[in-house]
Amino acid sequence: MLVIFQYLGELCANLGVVNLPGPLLGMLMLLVVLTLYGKSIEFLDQASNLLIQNLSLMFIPPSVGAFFLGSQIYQQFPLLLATILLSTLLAILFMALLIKKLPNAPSDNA
Amino acid sequence: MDFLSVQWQQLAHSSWIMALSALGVFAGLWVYRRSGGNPVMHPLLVGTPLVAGLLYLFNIDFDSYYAGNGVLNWLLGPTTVALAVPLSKQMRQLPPLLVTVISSVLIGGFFATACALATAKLFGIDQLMLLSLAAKSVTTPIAVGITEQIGGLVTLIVMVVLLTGIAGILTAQAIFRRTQVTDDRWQGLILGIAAHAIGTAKAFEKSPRCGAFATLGMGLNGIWTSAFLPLLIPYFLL
Repeated sequence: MLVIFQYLGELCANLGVVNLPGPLLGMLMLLVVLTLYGKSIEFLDQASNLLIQNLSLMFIPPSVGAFFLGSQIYQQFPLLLATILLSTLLAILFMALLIKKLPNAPSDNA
Repeated sequence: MDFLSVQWQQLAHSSWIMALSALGVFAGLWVYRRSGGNPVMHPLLVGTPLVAGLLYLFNIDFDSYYAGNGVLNWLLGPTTVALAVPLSKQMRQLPPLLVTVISSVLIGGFFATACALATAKLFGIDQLMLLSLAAKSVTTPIAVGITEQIGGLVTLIVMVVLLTGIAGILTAQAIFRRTQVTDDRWQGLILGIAAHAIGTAKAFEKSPRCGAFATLGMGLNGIWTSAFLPLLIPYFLL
């Protein structure tokens, strides 16, 4: 079922309907269907839980690649790290201030 | 139907080498649990150098290792689709808080990415790297898709996303205290937008409601970023 939606997504991406990655389109379609349907489907819950819980395993191969990049990239690594830290910090700070400013943000500590 | 044959190729190349990846994850998880869930000991940060070390030790080149993991790489697609399932469960919480949630995701998500690109530009990071860190606040399966699309290095984005998540959960608490964001729903939402799955995991430790909003923030931001990023990126290239 998940694979069917992925292929539906990739098919749309291939046809050039919208410029998004295929699996993401598939996810959007499934999201719309599930939200409209409104109930949970057990086998789908189980399958997606299993996949999501094992995500780390799927990320090992690409991240191992980070150790096999050229030396040019390693020279920039400290800068990369600084960029990540600084921009993540700024983003969180910005959103925290933003939420304080938004009118309809109720706040309780229930 | 080109993509079908490409994917078949990917599956057909899978081999025993996958066991190395599994070993990396188990070792990583073991260390992580022993450390009592210390974010700096994240399973991927421990497991990845281990696998890389083994490849160097046994003289296996990266390309054949990567090809040997075909099944795992292929699974990332269906898993991206699977993210819709938890997200759809959170959609029910959305209506009463629609305005706040949507505007936080639209403005905050955009800011997070634009800020990363601007900082990278400021530090003089070169173009290929810039492309490979643009999707840093997005959950990894979506970030991989976006990075492939804009022409960045997939091998780099996975690490960048991971480090972003860790940076996020290390700094978030102090910021929430300073800015007096005390409501766990908004803390969760911000964690999800800025620090994706790692932030979401942290949010679930706080409370289920915090985690639910983090899931929402992460999912919606992933969709939103994949829509605007390809349009934004040309402005940050030379």
